[in-house]
Amino acid sequence: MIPLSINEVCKEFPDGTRALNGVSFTINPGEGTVLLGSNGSGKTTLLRCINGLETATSGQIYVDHIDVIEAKRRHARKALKRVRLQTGMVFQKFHLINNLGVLQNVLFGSLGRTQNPMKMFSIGAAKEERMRAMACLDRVGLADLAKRRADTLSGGQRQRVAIARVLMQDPQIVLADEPIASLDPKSGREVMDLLWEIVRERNLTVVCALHQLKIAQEYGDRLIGLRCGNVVMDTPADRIDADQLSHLYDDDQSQSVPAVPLEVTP
Amino acid sequence: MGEQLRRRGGGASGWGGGGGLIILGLFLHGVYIAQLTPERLLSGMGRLGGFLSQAIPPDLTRASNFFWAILVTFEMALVGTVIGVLLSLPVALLASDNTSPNRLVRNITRNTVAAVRTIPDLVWALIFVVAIGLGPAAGILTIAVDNLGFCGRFFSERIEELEPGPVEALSSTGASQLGIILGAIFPCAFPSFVATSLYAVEKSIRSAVVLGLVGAGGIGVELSTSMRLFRYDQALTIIVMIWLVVTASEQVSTQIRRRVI
Repeated sequence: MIPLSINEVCKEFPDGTRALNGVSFTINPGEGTVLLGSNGSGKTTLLRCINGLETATSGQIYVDHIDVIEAKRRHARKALKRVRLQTGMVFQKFHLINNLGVLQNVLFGSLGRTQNPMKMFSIGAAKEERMRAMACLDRVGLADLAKRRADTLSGGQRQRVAIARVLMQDPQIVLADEPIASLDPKSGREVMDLLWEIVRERNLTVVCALHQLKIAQEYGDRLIGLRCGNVVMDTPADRIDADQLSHLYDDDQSQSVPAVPLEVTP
Repeated sequence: MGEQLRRRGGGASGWGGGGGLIILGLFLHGVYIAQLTPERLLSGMGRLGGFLSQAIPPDLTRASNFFWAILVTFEMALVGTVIGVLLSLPVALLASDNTSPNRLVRNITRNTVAAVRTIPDLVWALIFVVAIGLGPAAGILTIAVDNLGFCGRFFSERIEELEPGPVEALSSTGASQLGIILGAIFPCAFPSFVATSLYAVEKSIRSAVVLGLVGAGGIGVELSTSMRLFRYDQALTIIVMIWLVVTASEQVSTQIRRRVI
């Protein structure tokens, strides 16, 4: 069980947009946290900073006692790799390798542990690795689609494959960036159910960015609200306050603060 | 502001006018030195008729020799393209913004590839004939270098256009650079790489035909000999065979392309 703590994290993009304005919180191991906030509140940027896909401008992010920001800045590959092995990501747009098979996509979850290029692909991989990938695929209920190309699957199925990829990676922390925003309500529910079941049965820490309040309250243990890069709410899900919530999605947001065009995919 | 714009616009059109005059001058001079007079064109037509009357019927007595020479030409194109494509893969990775280790390496690689591409293949063939002598080896090297310039550029452009998503997904698992290249970049770019490579083979077959003219092996040697000995009937046989091989190769590559993409 590894702790995750975030201290005074700021992120300013080269074009001057400030995505994060001194965000601080500590996540307890095994906690199911939902990051809430409208588009541009900094949810995505924060998750990307935790995994090191983005380098925060200042502050500290400790994953397993390693400062990710420091590791990124010093190009400390080993430290960054240790962080990444422990933080699995689920993306809004799935990010599968579309013209490869489903099983191969799951197998790529273990790339961080694979040095030999021959073993990266399902033809050359060790039998037990292939069996594990198959088991992960079975866990998300898609074992029968193992041989299909990833781009022949529906959105919900693709997100399940992406979850199987995270299972294969076997991290302690799961970072989910709007995992159901590209899905219809029904398959969105199914994906959330599956993600939370898996997180619970493996006792993983999860930080999930969402913008649907209802779903956030239903699944999260703890809700953290972001607005323009600041934490404006941090509360257990069962003690949520209507005032705070309305503040989170204030209509005057666009007027009081200049537009922060974020949720960047650089 | 408006005035400034107008003035700048005027300057630009002034330059454009000067450039246009120069190009017009070059064009007229070109027409003048070509002496492309109607009389010359007419007499040319007459001689073309002479060529055709001597070329038809085509002489098939040496067809089997030509067949082997064409096979050599095709093999030169194939081997040269395969070498060029294989060399292009690492070169394209070094030349692309998103995969190059740093800007210096990227700029050096990109400029080298650009320089290689500016030199026409016939010039490379002349150089390689001097370096390693007459024959198919010079042709293969020429085609490999020519394709390095061509595929290196197109592969690199494709790599730079790739969506960052799959690459980020694999990076986020802790994958090494090699893992990301083999797992995300090559698979995502694969259909485009295949299409470019097939086009490169087609292009190389046509180019290999001509390379023989400067002694770099293949059917071009036979064609040039037949023309010089005024054996137009043999030349026609060769031309028809070239046409068949090029058409056939285009058909095959279209089929492969359809299946891969």
